[in-house]
Amino acid sequence: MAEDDLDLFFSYGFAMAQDRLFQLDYLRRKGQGRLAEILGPEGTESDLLVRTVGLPDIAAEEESRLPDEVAQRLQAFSDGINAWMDRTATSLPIEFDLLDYEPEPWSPAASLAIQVEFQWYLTGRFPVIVIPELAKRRLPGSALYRAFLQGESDEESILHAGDYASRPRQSAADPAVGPSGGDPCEGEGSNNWAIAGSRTRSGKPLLASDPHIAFAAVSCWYGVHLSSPSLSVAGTGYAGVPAVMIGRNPRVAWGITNNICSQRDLYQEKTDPGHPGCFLHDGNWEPARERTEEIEVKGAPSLTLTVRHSRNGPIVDSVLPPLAKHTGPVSLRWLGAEGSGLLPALQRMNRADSVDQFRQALKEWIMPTWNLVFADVDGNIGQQSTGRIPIRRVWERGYRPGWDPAHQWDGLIPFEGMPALKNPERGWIATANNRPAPDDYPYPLSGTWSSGHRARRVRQRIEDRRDLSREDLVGIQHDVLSLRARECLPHLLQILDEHSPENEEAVEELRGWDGRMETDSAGASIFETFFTHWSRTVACERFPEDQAELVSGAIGGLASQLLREDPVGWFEHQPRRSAVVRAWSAGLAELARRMGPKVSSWTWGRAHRIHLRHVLSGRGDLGSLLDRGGRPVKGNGITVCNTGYDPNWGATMGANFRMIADLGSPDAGLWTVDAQGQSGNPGSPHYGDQLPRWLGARYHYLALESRPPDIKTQTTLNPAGG
Amino acid sequence: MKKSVDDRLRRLGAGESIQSLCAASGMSRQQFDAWWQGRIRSRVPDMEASHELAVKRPVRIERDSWGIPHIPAHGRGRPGPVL
Repeated sequence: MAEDDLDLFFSYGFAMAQDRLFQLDYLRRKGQGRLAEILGPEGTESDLLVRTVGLPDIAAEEESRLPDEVAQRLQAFSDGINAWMDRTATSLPIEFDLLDYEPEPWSPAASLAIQVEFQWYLTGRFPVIVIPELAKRRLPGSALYRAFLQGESDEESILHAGDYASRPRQSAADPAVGPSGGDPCEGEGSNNWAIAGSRTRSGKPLLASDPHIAFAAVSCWYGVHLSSPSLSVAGTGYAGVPAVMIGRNPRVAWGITNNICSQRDLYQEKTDPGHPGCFLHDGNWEPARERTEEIEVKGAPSLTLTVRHSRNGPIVDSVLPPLAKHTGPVSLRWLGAEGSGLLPALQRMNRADSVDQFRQALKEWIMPTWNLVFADVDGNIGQQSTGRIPIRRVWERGYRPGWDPAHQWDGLIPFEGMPALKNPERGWIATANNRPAPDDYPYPLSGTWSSGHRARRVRQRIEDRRDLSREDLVGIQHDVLSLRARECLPHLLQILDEHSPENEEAVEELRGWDGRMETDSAGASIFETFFTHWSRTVACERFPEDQAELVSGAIGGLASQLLREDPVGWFEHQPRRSAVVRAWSAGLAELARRMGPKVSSWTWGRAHRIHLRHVLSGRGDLGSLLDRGGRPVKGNGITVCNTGYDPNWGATMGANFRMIADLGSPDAGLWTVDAQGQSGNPGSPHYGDQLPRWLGARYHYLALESRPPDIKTQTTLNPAGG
Repeated sequence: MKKSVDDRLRRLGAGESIQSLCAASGMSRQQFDAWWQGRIRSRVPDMEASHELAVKRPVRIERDSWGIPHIPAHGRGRPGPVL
C-alpha cells in the first residue's frame, strides 16, 4: 500500500470528522443498535430492530472479509477520525453537550456498521412484503389479488426487448420477472441516466444522477475530491463510508439508483407445543438458535432481548409493522447477512479507467443491489445491475412457508446474468427504480419496483432532443410533469362532468392544469389531494380501516386503473363512479380546511415544503434551533424532480443530491448540488447553505483538477516530529 | 478528562423549553439567541490550522467555497494522474 494512499485516507477521515463528528457517531450508534444509550427510550425502537436483525454481527463479519488493501485504507480513515476527535475533545460538536456524552474512539467496525445499516435501509423495507401479505389474506388466490399487485407504467423497463437473449417461460409456475407490485416506499428511489455522444451537443457522453433519500439538516452525503499518485476522484459518498459513491475520475463518471429487486424474504414459521423450541422444515423439527442482546437505555433500565433464529434467519415478527404482527413467528432471510462487498467495489470503481474496467470492479459486489450507469471519455456508456439476486423457484409476494424446501433460495443470479447494457443503439440508458427488464428476461428478478413514470418521463425528455447539453440535463432533473396526473385526469374529469360535483371552480382549475407539480399551481394540490383520498377509498373497499392507510400507499397502479375501468369488480359496496365523486369531495374538504375556501389560493407550494430536520429535532425546542428549510418546493414523489410527500404534504424525502458529469467539457470536474450542506456543525456557514441553490436549480463546480480553482481555506497536516 | 458541560445545553437537550430555560437563567430571548449563537460558533473547527499527525508527508485539506474538501496527497515531486 503506497504511503500516499494511506495519508490520503487518513486525511479523508480527519476532514469528515471535522465536518460531521456528531453525525458519524449517531450513524454508528444507529448501525450498532446503541441509540437508546444516548437518546433514552426514544431510541429503543431503532435499536430493537437493528439488534433483532443482527446488523452489528453482520458488520463484524464484513470486516473479516475485507481485502487487505481496503482494510488498510479503512484503518487509515478511522485513524484520521480519531486524530480529529483527539484534537477537539474539549470543543466537541454541540450535540454531544446537548446529550451529555462523549464519543468513543472510531474503528473500521464503526464505518462498516454505518454501511450495513445503509444496506438495510435500502433493501430491508418490511412493508414491501407485509402489504402483499395483508392483501393475500384478504383476497386469496383471486383476480382481485392480481389486480392489487399491478404496477404503474410497469412496462417501462431499463433493458428493452432485444437488449438481452430472452428465455421463454416453461410453465405458469416458472418464475418470471413478475409485476412490479407498487412500491410503498415510492419516494425512496433515485434517477440516473447516461447519454452517448450521438445524442449530445459535444459528441461526448453526459451523465446525471440524483439519489432520493430523506431530507435532513445534515446531509447523508459527503462531498469530496481525493487525489494521490494512484487516485483522482471527486463526487459524494455516504457519511462514514470512505469511498465516492456518485462521481467521476479523470476517465469514468457514474451514478447510482436502488434496484429494488428483493434481496430478502420473510418466512412464516411453524411451531408445535410437542416440539418446544423448534421450527418445522421439510418434515423435521429443527431446534432454534438463540442469542441475547443487552440494550442500554439512558435514564431507564436496560432491555434484554432474546432473538431466536430458524434456519432461515432471525425471528422478526416483533419488529414488523404493527398490523403484520400476531401471525406467529416470522423469520427473515436477508442476503446482507451473507456478505456485501460494497466497499471494495466502490474503491475499485473509483480507480476504473474505462467502462469495461468499471464493470469488472462490480463483480464481487453482493449487497445492496443498485443500477449503476457509467460513461467514459472514450465515448462508451454502460449500465450494470449490481449485487446478487436470490433465485426463487416459486413466485411469491407475501410471506413464504418456512417449512417448505421449495421456497428456499436456489443460489444467486450470477454476475453475468444480472441486467447490463453497453452502448445500446438508442444512445441512452436511464434507470429510475423501474423494472430492469421485461418478463422474458432469463432470470427471475423478484422486484417490487417503483412506478415507471419517472423513467418514462426521462425517456421522453431524452428522446426529444439529439443535441443534449449539461443545461438540458439540469432541466430533466427538475422536470415536474406528473405522468400519473396526465393519465388520470381525462378519466377523472369525465366522471366529474357526468356527476355535477360540488365546486365547479375546482373542476375548472383541474381542467386547465397542465399536470406540472409547480409551487404556484392549485391544480397540483387539487389532484394530489384527490389521488390520496382516492387511493384510500380504493383500499377501504377491500381492507379494514386499520389496514387501509398502510395499503393505500402501495396501490397507485390499481387506483389509476380504477379511474378508467374496474375489470375485476373491485368495488362491491358502492358504484365506482360514486366513490370517485366522494373522494373528490373529501379532497376538497381537506383543502378548504387546511388552506381556506378560495380555490386559487390552494397552491402546491403552500402545502408542499421542504423541511431539513435535525435528528434531535423532536427534543423540546431543539427543532427551532437546529432545523433548516421550510421553503416551498416543486415536484412530488413520482416526478423526476423528486420531492416526496408525507400525510401532511411535506417534502420529507427526495433528490437530496444532484450531479451531472459532462465528459465533453474541458472542465474535468462535476456539477453538483446538495439539498443541505457540507457541514454538520450548526454554527458553520456550510450548515444547510446549499439549500437555496438546490431550490433554484443552481449547481456548483466540484473540481477534479490537481489545482482546484476555488480554494478558500487550507488545513495542513504535517508529520509528527517532522 | 471529562469536560465540563454547560448545564443550559444539557437541559435543552433533555427537552426543556427555551422559555423555561430563559426564565430559570434570567435571560431574555434575545440574550438566549446570542448565547446559543456563541455556543454553536465556538464549535466550528478552524479550517486554517496546522496539525502534527501520523502522516508520512504533509497533506493539505483545501476547502472550496462550499466547504468541500479537496485532498491532494502527493509525495514531494510526484504528480497526480494526468487530466
